Amino acid sequence: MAQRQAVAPPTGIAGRLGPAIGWARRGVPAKREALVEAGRLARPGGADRARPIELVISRTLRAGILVASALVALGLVLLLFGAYAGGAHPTLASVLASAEGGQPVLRSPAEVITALGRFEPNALVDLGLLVLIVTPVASLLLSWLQFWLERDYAFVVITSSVLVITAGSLLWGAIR
Amino acid sequence: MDVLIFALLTFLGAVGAGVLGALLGLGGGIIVIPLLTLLLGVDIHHAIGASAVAVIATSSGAAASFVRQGLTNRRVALFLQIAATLGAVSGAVATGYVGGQALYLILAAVLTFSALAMFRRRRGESSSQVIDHPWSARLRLSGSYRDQVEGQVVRYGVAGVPQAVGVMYAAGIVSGLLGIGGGALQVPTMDILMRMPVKVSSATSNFMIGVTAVASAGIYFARGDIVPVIAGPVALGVLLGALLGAPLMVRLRGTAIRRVLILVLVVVAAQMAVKGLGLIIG
Repeated sequence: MAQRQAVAPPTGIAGRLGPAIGWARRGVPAKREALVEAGRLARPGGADRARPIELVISRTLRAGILVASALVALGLVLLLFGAYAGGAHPTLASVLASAEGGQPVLRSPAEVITALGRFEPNALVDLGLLVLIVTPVASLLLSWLQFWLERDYAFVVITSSVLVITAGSLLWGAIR
Repeated sequence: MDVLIFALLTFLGAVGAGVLGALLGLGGGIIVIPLLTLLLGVDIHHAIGASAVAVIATSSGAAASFVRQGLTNRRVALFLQIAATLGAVSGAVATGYVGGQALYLILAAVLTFSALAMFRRRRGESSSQVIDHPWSARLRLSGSYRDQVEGQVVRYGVAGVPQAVGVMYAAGIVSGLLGIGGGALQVPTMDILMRMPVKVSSATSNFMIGVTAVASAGIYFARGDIVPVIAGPVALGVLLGALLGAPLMVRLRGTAIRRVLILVLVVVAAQMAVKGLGLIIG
């Protein structure tokens, strides 16, 4: 699996002797060199390529955004069309008070699905917003998968913790 | 106001919030909330709900570009995210025990201090001179990206990791207590303490705020604070703004981004100071 080159450990006898040579020379430039060798200092220049996992995350985010904005846009057009079909000049307050504007407001995915069955435009907007809200979770899950495949277990634990804390605070807050 | 005009104005304002959010990694709340409450007369709860949607839209819209270009350091983001989210949970639990006005003033002071610290090193520095902290070496936090302005690959080390974890936890507590995103503290932390390149700090913060906002947006949705006719135009506008802002950020010089960032930090600090003083007077 792809590894970060920035901290590639020094290999061979030169790598192991690097810091010692730097110390022996006692020159500042030599010491910098030794630090670079030891991977403690960022090295200027180097390889540059988009890794496959980053392309997958990027495309997943893009797909989430496209689906979400299509649903929100279509729902909004229908919602506004419905509001103007009445004849009067609808205002924000009048739309908020009407069923089209989301009164009563849908509060859960189940309610959104039920309202979709009744062809409510506000449910279409809400569905798009829900897709948008879960999109970052997709990139978390893909990161988790990447670390698992790279056997980078420290980051498997870190990403799992982030997922658990996020899910926990979501549930705790939603129940309150 | 006609609802169509309301939707169009909200959409246009949200485009601006998306551009600035993608540029600086602060999230869109600092623009979206005042726009909706002060200019368009929206209820504060609906504005906060729409703002959470805006933060996620900025984050995902910008990350779609930044992750692929290697600007987002997901390892730093996820590592700091633990401290930030644990802090936010602590802060949410502590709500009701701690007074708000003093916190706003402390936050204003911290933001002013951050802006000053960033101003002092406004020209930035060669990131290759940053010595990796041992924790960074262990967790492999350092990284590299191709800077399109300088036309070369920039490799960077990550310093001050334990201090950054502490600040992120504290920033999480503040954001949990006050219900504001931690983005305004994340970018200065990565810049001043971890000494990461400003573009990487911005992109990484952008990634983090999206994850943080998932929980809060879910909670606002369950409370009925996310209203289609308000949050819908906000989401569409911010997404468009983030798609426009991401390539702009890549093409700007780091020093230019720092200048805008310092300016916005001062404005947010002033907002917080007014809130703190207002609450004390009122």
